[in-house]
Amino acid sequence: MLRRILTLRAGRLAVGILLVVALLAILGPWVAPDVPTAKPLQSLSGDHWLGTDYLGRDVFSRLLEGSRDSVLGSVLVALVALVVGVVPGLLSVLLGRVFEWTTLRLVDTLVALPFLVFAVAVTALLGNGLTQAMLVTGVLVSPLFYRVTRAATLAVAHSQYVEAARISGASIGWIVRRHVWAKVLPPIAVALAQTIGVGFIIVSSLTFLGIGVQPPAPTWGGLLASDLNYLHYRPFAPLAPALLIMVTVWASNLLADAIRDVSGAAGRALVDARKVAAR
Amino acid sequence: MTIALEPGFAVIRVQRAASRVLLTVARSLAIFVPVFLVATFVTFTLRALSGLSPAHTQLGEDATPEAVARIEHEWGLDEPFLVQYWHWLGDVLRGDLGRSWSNGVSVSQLIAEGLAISLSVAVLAMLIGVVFGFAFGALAALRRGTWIDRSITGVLTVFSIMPPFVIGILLVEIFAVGLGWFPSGGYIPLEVGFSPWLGHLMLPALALSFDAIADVARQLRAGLVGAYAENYVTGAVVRGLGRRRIFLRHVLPNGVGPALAVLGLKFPVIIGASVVTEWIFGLQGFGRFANDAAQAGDVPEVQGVLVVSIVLVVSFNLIVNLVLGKITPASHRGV
Amino acid sequence: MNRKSTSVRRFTVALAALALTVSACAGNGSAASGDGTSTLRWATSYFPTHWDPVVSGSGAQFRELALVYASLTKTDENGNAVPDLAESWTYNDTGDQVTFHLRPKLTFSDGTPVNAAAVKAAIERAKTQKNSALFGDLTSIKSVTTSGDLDVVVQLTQTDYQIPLLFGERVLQVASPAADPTALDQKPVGAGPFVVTQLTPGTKVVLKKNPDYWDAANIHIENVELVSAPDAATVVSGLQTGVYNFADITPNNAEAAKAAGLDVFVQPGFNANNISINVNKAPFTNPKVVDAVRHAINRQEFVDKLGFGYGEATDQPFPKKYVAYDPQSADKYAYDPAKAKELLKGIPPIKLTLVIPSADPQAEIVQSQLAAVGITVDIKVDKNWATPFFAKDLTLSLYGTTGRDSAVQTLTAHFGPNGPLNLSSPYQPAGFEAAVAKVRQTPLEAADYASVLQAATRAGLESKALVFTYSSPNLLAKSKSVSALPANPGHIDWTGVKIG
Repeated sequence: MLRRILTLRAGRLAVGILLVVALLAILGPWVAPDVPTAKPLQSLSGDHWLGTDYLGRDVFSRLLEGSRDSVLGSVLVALVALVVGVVPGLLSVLLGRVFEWTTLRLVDTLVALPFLVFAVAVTALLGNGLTQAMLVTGVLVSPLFYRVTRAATLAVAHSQYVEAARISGASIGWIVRRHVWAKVLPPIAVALAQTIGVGFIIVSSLTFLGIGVQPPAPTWGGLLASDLNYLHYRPFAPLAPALLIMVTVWASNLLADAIRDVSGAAGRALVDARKVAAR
Repeated sequence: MTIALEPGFAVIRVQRAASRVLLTVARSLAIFVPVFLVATFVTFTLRALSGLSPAHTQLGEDATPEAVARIEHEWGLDEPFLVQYWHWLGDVLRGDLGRSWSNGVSVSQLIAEGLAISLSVAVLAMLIGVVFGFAFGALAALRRGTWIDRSITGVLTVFSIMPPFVIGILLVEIFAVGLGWFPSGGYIPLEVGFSPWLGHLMLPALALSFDAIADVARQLRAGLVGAYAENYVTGAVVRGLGRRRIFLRHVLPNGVGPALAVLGLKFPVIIGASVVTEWIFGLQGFGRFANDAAQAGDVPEVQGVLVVSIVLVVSFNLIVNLVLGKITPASHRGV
Repeated sequence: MNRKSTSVRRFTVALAALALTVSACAGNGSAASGDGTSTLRWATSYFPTHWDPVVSGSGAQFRELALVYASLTKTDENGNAVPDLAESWTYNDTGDQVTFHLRPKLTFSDGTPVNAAAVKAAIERAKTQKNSALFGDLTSIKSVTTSGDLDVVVQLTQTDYQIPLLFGERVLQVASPAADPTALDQKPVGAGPFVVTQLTPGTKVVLKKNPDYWDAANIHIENVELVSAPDAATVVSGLQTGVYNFADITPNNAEAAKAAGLDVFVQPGFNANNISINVNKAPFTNPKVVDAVRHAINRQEFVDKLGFGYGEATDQPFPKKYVAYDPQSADKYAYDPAKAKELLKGIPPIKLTLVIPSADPQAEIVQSQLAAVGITVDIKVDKNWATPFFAKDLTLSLYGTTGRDSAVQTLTAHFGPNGPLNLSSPYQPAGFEAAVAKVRQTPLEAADYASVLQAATRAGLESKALVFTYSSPNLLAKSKSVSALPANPGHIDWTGVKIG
């Protein structure tokens, strides 16, 4: 699949950007130049490529250090959503009606919640950690995965070859491994890419409101929010973290589109569920 | 299609329409009730988990253990958990969301006051989203493949990847501070005058509408481009029908479904993003209230916020479903 | 092709027209909100949660409540008590009884007379109401009686010449006795310069001038709209575009406000930030660790990085010019990281958690300064911070005081055994209690008042529970149409202020 994605120009771009971001996240904290604190709120210079922040720390280093928490955060959101969404989505088709009905209602619950309101409320009540924020956000976006998985599984489950396998006495596990996975994976991959983008935006909004910030650990959203307080001194400072966030979100969306484009009609039909991701 | 309808047929049709509305309402209620119970129960559990207490918001510097116990007793927080939930739920069903921990005011009243502002902003944002979303989407579809299409798509992409607070701050800097067209924040009630009211709503509504514009336009463009590729449109072109007629009669009705569906989903997004927008624009609405309540750890207020937002979103979805059921057949909705 | 482009063009024109209409009809929005000549539009980051002064307490929000409530006394530019509702006051010879003589013929805004009975009720309510935030400040008050209609006689538990300062706006804003105390939060009734006409809890209050205020002749503001401030980054834009004409701002926004053509000024006050230490918990049970922290703190760094030209290093809860400031205690624990390291020698590595209510650059500075002497600090932001802080359960925290009109009240709040800002309760430095009692017994106009007060400050500063860092003043920005405010320390007084 990756090879097919790379045949698309958008796919190459997306994968390229995300690779760079991933490298930043892994190596960032180590390659960050260890510049001693200097005069606060300096503008760009040879010593400080992106200037210094309100305490005189090097902004470029802070951005690099912050990349790990930012990226890990969004990945955590996506993984939580994946686990919370995919498993029930799959089982809702394969297990009985009671389970189906219950999970459908639960998903309706989550979909009905205005995302940010709920994230703000729950994170504030559960203590002020970024991890809490990620977990809550992950649960809130999980309906996307549930629906995508369920739709794909439904389509497969009612196909003749699965019927045939069932009649011939194959176990549920075998059917899932043999037939369902291949059909379900592409839409899940699409959803995963989108969720990473959504995670970035949600988490940066929360940090802007001062929720989930645990100084001095930097995140891109937190750096952006704190830069806004010193606009008069460094008017273009928010640009760097904002661009990092926006480019990463954009690349995730591009990747989602590319996966959908290469995964054929089945993938395309399912992506209407992406609307949910906007929440 | 020129056969005159028999009188009885019309009656059946009305009956069918009515029963369809009823069915939609009933189905929404069937969803709403369990949703409501689960969501309220979860929020209620959160208080127990959070360890928050009204005693500290009230006592501040004078919170001795005895005083804390006394105040918690006054609020009935020493009762068993399920008993508390049962009382609270009963009150909620009567429209009473309890009293705020921090100032003892009825939460229903507090929320009602903020909601008027937020709904004004949300409706205006939806309106802007629809107008500009449809305009951009239609324009891009009509000029598909040209630089117009590409630049619209580019702008929309930027819209959709900007965090909401960045949009807010940018709008303030450009339209309030830079150009001086609008005030940078605050709210003037409608009674004072239409134009100051609208002026104060404009920037926050615009900030909230970006995401809606982007999504509506993208869906509409895709829908219209898809419809243009259909056989009947090719047929209409071959038959020599006018472009406008083809667009209005054949393309638009068949391509508009996904855009309308996405619109339905935008409402909770807008209500959600108002948390950020109202904080930037100094609006004392529902979103600001939600944020203040959460940050202050005022649990009855937070619970009220969640109940009201669920009710809001569910009723809005009901309306959208009813409207969509009228406009497009289910198969075109992409649901 | 031609037709198509026409329709597209028409479409675009219609769109542009729509956008123009919308912006045109909204364009005069900011002008329309500037309706009158004398409306104060005040955005505050200290919007009161409670409008019952007894519940609201002595914190920074007392300035907002002072719009509605008058008190027995207020302070002048030197911080001395001057008449407000009380015309004058007299102590008995032993200094354990003070009589306040009220101005005649005053009423609360609900028509209830402002008389001795009303003031007596207000003092007793502050002492006894269950959720009173003030009773801790009233330990000197034994009982209150009335003498005639206008004389309030206050019996004291000890000789205490601080009472006129105490009964100012921080501790004794007088609400109408006819009003139900539980209703005051939604409907405040006082005898102050303004009357509330509309109150949205937590967000907005609309007030109009009170024609019955005793000094109404000197109040030139007709209307007040007090709103809870939005994000600090947009307050200046709000002032600039006329949404507000008065707001408190953070030092980092001062330059921006000036550049936007606003008046930025410092209202004198008693602000001071400190590190709170709990000597009842390890590692601070070891006095050497406390001393190490004292010497590890570089106050100038706070000033340089957070003050933006408005801060001042301080090792006391008082500004240098104030009578309670003790010059002898200055620089007692100077910045000396080498000495701090020396003190920590032989002590196993220290790891601390610094708990604060919201993200604060001060915490990051403390963290880096302590790290420099080998103390590891983790910062924990806890919204529920007030609970463990006031229960004295934390080991290390930060606090910023706005001070009190009575220097003794400031001292006991910080250093007293039950002081709310003393994280180490019931610890108090040796000799502090006696020193404070001596201040209470000294009349304010006595020749040795200053030296006695400074001695009490000196005794208090022996406390191992507090390390003062720097003071950031009350920084305010106003539009040029608002005239200068009286420079009364700690207060925002609207007497004589004109708008327009």
